[in-house]
Amino acid sequence: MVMGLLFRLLRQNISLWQLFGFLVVNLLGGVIVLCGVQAMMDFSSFTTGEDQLLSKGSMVISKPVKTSNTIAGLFGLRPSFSSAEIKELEELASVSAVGEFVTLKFEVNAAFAIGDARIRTDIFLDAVPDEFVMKDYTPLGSGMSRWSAGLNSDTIPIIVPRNYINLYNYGFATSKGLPQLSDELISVFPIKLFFGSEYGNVVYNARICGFSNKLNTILVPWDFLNAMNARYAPNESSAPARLVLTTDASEFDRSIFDYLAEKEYLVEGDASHVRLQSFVYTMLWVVIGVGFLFSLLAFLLLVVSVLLLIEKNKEKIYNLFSIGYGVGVIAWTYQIMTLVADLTVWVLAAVMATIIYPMFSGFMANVSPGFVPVPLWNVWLFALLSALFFAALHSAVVYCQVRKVCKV
Amino acid sequence: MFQDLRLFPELSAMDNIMLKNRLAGYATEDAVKEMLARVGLGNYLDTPCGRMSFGQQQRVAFVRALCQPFDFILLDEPVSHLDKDNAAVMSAILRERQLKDGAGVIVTSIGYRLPYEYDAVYSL
Repeated sequence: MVMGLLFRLLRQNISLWQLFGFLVVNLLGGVIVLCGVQAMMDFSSFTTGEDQLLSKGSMVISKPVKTSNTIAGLFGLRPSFSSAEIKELEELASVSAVGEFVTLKFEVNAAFAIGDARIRTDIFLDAVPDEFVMKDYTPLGSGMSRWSAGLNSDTIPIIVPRNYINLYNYGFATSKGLPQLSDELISVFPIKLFFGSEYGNVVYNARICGFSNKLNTILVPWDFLNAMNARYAPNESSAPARLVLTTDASEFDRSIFDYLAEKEYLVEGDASHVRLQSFVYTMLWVVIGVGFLFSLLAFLLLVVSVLLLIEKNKEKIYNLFSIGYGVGVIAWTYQIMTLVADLTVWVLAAVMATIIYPMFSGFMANVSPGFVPVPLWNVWLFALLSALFFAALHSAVVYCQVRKVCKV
Repeated sequence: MFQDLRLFPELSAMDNIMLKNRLAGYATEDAVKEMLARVGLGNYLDTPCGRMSFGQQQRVAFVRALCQPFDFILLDEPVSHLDKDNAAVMSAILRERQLKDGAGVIVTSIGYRLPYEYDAVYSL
């Protein structure tokens, strides 16, 4: 009742045009920010989330194969990284860690069956130190709880390039009338690995437990591969042909790419993809920045509106204070108004973003198979947090101004 | 009670008083109505103060001032725009309240003075 009387008194002189301006500008900014944030999350999930091997900021490099290498290869000489080259990479400011790929130095072939088709083929295996496999990586498939194996393990987890599965699903399976396979289904496929060298033969069961876009090899756990090399190829040694780098440089720092280009090292996967990724991130930040600018303008517009309202109602506010109303109670009347305005506009922005954004994500899903949008509730959460953030700022401004009017 | 009354012209006499009374939680609504009736404003409960004469507004402000507990009450020219009859009614109401609460009363005036049993009168 008292609050009702206060509202009746203090809401007078509200400028509907100013409120309308705030609503339109903030709605525009809010929708842009929310769509930008959602696009950022979707894009981030699309570009980094699906890679189950290497964490964001890591890349695999190798040396280009030239005709001279081919000839040298006939004499057992292959392009590899010398210890001096590795040391130079380690000393780069933007490189935080360098790991060497170790290759299985003797024969292995894999056998598996898809439908009636039984396939047995020579393969190759590599390993990288375990710290380059994402810490939160959880292997796919039954029976796999972690990325590790030794000589006594029953089943060996392996990670294959995503391209292999795409090649099967969109090429082989389609042309042969075979079923397409999901990640989960592939992970329960029984595979047998036959290892053989002059030191003996051994068979292991294996399961595909992950996929990577960043390398073109089949990966097994580091300890397992080194133990196999030690037992079945003890006298073989070679310099690493591939390295894995972890860079702590920001997405906008191109110096590492400049260095790699200068040295003519190749980035596995697609380096231009990484550059495009960086460009898209930059564009999204610009979009979010523009949206935020609109929101900031709307915030300032509401601040000016409320300050004008308080100025127009200055006498009433002072009279209320004179008859015993505290600054907090008087300010609360205006704080409620700004809270309602902020919540309304951000909820409306979230509603509009929820309607508008799927049009964009639908387009993305069409042009990029495998694109799975992050749930839109993130937009609602962000909208709510934004509303509370701006309402808190408005509340602080209102309180200070009311206090000033009351001359406390 | 303020000399410039500090009422809210857009609110009715009753609302002006209740705005204060609900804050203090002192008098019942009926008690407020009774006081307004005694000062001759029984028919003006819902009239916005902005449409009342200054004398009527003085009486509204007077009732409002009584709607709170106090040890001392300071009335700044409470009857400057009132006739003797209305001033006498206000004086009686104030006296009742003073005796009931054992409170002190301080009144200022320029010219016409609130009729009251003063313990002391200071001329400045």
